[in-house]
Amino acid sequence: MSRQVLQVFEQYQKARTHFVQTVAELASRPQNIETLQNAGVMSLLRPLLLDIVPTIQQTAALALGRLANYNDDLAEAVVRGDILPQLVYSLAEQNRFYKKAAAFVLRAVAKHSPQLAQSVVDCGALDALVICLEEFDPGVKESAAWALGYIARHNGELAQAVVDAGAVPLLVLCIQEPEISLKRISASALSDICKHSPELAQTVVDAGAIAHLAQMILNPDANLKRQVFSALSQISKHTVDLAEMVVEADIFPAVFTCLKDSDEHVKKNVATLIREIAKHTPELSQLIVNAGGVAAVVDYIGETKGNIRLPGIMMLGYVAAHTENLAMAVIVSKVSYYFLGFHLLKEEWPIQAAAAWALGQIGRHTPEHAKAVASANVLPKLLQCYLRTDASEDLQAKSKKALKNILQKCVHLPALEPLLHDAPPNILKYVVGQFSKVLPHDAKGRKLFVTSGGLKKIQEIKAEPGSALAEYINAINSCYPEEIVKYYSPGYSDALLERVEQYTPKM
Amino acid sequence: MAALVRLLEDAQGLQNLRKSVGEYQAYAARLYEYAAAVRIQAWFRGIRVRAYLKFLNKCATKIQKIWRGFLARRYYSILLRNTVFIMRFKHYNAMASKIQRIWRGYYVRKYVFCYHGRKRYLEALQVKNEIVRKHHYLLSTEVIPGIYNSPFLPCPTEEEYLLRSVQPLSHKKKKADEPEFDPICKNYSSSVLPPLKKPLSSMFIGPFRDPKDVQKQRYKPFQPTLRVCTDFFSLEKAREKLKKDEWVQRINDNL
Repeated sequence: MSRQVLQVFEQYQKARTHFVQTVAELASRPQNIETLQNAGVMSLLRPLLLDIVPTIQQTAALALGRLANYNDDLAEAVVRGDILPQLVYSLAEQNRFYKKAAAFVLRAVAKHSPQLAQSVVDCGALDALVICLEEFDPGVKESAAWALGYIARHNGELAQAVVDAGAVPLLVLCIQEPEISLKRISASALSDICKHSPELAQTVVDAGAIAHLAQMILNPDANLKRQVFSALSQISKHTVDLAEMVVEADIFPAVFTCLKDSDEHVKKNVATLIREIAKHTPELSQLIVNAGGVAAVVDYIGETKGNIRLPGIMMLGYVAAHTENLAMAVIVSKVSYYFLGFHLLKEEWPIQAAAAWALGQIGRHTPEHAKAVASANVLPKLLQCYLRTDASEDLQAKSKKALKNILQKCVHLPALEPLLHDAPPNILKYVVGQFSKVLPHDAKGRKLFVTSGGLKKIQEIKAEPGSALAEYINAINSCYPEEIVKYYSPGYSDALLERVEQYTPKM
Repeated sequence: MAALVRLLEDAQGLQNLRKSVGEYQAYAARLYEYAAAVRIQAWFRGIRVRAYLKFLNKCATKIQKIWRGFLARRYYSILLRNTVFIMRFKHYNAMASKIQRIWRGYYVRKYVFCYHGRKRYLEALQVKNEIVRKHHYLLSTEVIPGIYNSPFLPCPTEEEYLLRSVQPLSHKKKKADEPEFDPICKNYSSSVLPPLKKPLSSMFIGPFRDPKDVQKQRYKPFQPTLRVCTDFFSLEKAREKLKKDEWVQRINDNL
């Protein structure tokens, strides 16, 4: 009699187990989730979380997690269904498999939007997750750290809440664990915390994170390196002191070896780190240059393709922007303007804009720098970028500013010649101005100017009298004898022909 | 003889004739002689007067000469004084320019910009870049041995040591300890004197000032005035720097 009763219960239990396991499996494939949602799986899974049998609880939690992971409607349904408080409560109590699954659900809910993450925090999940971080099992720690990272990712308040819960020292301890995946996740969580504000970054640094992150730089695992460099770059981007602390961890020149790593994202994050450090002060840039950083970054730009080059180009621009000493160091490292100039026509807008900006920073200091930039035939390309009708405002503004700054210092006439023919009036003003400054003192230049057709072009420019352009044109015309100027002025051949017609030969 | 007597009887008449002819000739010659005499007198008087005038001229000339010499010597002494002054002034200016030139060169090279230092730095940088570009990733790390450090060999090869020995050009902070002889003499406040130099030649004799005073004056710390420190174009440069900083920090130009 009692055996039959018990059999019913056993059947029910088996049914529940089967249901939960199948749902969990189905939820791992995206195409089933719509159907599952329509079938009302949420309301069915909720009571199963409170089931007596631990395996059913864990599998239900796992299924919930996978569902919530898929899109934010389901995550909101999880939140609305008041599942979170239950999960948080049981995080403190249950065994490690359940903890892993519960942390997975929390992470899946929190990753979609700041509001969902806020609702996760409001349930008191942070304290429970931090307690999980103190567990022995590395899998639990990993899930907890992952959830914390996803919560902190959205905005500064959430990150501050994570820090206030005391997560940072535990995360730093997690980084020192031997398991690679745990290290990876903790580094990612620290990176997400640091990126919002200098105070948060300072908190992370005070916990001693930099030393441990720096130790992992030469680790062979690519994913780990990716997260480590991301964390270091988020720390160093805020203030000079933080950047100096990162530098004092002796990361140079070991970091340059990672610029040649096979993984693209590692390279990108290393370049970002170097860029954030170089941005702050001339001394930091000097440090990087002295360690051979510019050469490494130039090679990096040469070898990679696409958007990944952007941090490298920006780094060169920041380094060259500080002082003309550093700009000369960049030039000397064979930054291959040809290459930078090549970017200007073939790539997407951000790369083009960054390349234009960087060229402007390099070339604007002294005539030497301007000559080095201009002799790589970069100026016509900049002009083209400026004149393109389909270019974004950003690109146009940057290329115009770069052109203007380089032109104001450029006295290398052969490089200025091509610009005479195509430039619009506001750029032409600078070009003609430079000619008018150089030609009065340079006899050979004058001759070249005439033979290359520059004088002819000057005559064809219509300038309003009294404007600066007209003054420059007058200055250039006064360098030459009158007959030559008249010869090249437009309509002279017609005037000559008219004279021929009117001439009566004397018999 | 008869002719003679006859002539003598006629002598009176002859004599009368002769007289009258003579008188006539004398009368004719009188005017001429008178004119001649006047002429001779005039000429002689003229000579005398001319001689007198000449004498007077000479006297006047002499007086004028002495007077003009006197005036000119006065004027000359003033001119000489001025010329000497101008000559000395130009010389002092030239010397002052020389000092200023030397000082400005020293000041610029020490505190502003040193061309040869920059050149040396750039050459060293190129060498460093070559090393970094070609060889640094061949260096072995703690975890992974490099290609010059095979695990099968008892010790790394010499290329490995070569690469390891390359240090980055580090920007070390200035060391706190100074070399033994320091020209600025920072710690001169202690009683330790700088090491002895060569003895002074016998040109410098006589009572000397107290060495401490001299040292203090000689090794005074460099306190340039604001005018010296400030670049002539500091205002324009400050404006340019403001604009430049704004341009560098602004990443997105989309309006």
